[in-house]
Amino acid sequence: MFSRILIANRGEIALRILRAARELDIETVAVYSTVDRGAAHVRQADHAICIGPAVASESYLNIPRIISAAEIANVDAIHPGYGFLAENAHFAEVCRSCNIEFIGPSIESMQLLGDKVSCKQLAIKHKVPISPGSKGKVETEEEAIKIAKQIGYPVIIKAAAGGGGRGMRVVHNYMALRSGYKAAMVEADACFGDSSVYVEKFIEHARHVEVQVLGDQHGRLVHLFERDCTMQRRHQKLIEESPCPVVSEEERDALCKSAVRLCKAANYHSAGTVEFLMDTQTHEFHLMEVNTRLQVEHPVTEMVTGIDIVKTQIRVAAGEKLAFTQRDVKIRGHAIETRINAEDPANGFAPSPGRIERFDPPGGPGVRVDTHCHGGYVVPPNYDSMIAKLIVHQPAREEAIATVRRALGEFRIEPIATTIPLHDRLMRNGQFLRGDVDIHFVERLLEK
Amino acid sequence: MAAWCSRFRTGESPSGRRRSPERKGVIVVLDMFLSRIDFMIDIKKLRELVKLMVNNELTELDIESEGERVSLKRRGEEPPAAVLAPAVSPAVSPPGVVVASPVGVEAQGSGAEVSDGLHTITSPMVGTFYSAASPDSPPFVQIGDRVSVESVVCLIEAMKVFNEIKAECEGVVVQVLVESGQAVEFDQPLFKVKPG
Repeated sequence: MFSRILIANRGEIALRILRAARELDIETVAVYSTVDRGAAHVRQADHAICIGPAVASESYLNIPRIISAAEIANVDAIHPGYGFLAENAHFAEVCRSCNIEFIGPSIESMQLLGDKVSCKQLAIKHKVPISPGSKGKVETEEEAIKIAKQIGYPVIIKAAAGGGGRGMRVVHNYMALRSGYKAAMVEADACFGDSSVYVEKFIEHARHVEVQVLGDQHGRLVHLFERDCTMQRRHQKLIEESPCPVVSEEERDALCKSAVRLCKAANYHSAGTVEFLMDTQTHEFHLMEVNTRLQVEHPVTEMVTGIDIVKTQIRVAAGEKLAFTQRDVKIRGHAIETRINAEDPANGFAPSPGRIERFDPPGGPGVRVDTHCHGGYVVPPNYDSMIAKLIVHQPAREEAIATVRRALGEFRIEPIATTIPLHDRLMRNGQFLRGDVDIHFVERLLEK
Repeated sequence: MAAWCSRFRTGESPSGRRRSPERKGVIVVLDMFLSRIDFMIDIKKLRELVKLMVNNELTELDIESEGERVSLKRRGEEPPAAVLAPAVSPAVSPPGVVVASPVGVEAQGSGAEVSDGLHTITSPMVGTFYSAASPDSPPFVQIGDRVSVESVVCLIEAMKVFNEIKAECEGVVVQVLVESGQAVEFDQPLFKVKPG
């Protein structure tokens, strides 16, 4: 087991990693930028090293500074958290070449699954449900038209090098495809330096369903079931829950098994998430992408399965075998997470950084709050706006929703604006309660 | 026989320091036991102690002798973070004097101007500080040396690469705050220079 690990991240996830390390009796080293000097995990870590100014490129994204800190602090491993360098294969390579373990998958599997085209090809080979469409890059307009005719409109033209919702264009007919194809290539080249595009079937009403996987370095890889993250705004998740309220047992089983097949084929280990879009009408699944890292919403799965994903990541990175088999993994009850951001929903979601005077998180049965904030904490303007995750676990979905409502009512964060009022509204929304939503539902609701 | 016992603390913080459980800041403690000795002499002694603190860049001083105890804390200069310098022969530990520097204060950018009129050269990177080009060479700078903008004052090694750190100011070195071979973090004060 490691004796000392460096946390290459900040905010709530840095604290999460610190807690897991503490419970495993591992010493922690925090690296921080000048604006994060007073952060909770920095204060609590065994060692803390300032690595640069606020701007991420000179601190949390700066590989030489982080490695330098790791060397002077003499750490055995680095946990990259999520975002920043978590999916940076080069960083993983540098770590391992300096004899510092990178708590995540192998570089090869990260690259194989991280590339959309190679990932899709692997998926086809292992019968993982994918979007009907081009097998790889579309070379000519004629090819695009032929594929669109085969799979039926509407289709989406996607930049191969794009991601996170960028570089995509939906076309509903032949004329739109003709003009859209060339334009998409030009855009892709301008944004990503790569004009390659591919064409897929577009789902009008989709849900976002993802499968959590966890594997060790001894060939064992299991799934921890699925999460539904359909409640989004501009491709940013707002609410996540497990299990998905609208799939059947058979659909769940097939989907989760396919995610395991895909990751096993890539020799994957550590934590990962396979993301799908599901057609709400046909319940057809289309593979979107694989995130070769820990996800923000991992607590949802931790609550329903009782498995500590971060501790397990550290354990498998240290060479331990998974302590459980697929048969041991069960879902109990229902869990929901709401992401609380320092944004003003009444003002176009304008960021609202600044000093928090009052921070009273909720408590009671079934409530978990993952946050780095406290009264007196100054939310810096330099990083993403998420300040807390409220996670609730109850025996059934209705009870969980009621508890979220109760907990949101108790949660006081003042004077900065937060998205708590939005979550309160969503928790009372009839369609959400019925499970009758799609990935554009929140945007449509807010437009009204 | 006077048994002087003193504990002192400087404002600087080496990196990679041990973190003890969070301690609250303590407001100035000025506690002096007047003995049979004349008040005037005590004031003179006090002035000497304050001068000692300023000249040696101390933020706290705690001295005990012959039934007298003086504990002084200097305000005005915000130290970057708390660290315990090794205590010097604590023969008698004064009861209940726990003094801590404030935690979580934003560090000055490189080239800080502090209230004593000196310029601080701070580390622009994370790594290991070396005062000389090699173990056998003389140090790049010593106290009393004049530096200019381009003067190399030290090396900081990071990932096997040795980086020359320039003074980026004009003046005379009055203090060297770190030791050769010591790990340093970003913004850590390295030298104090009297501008001019």
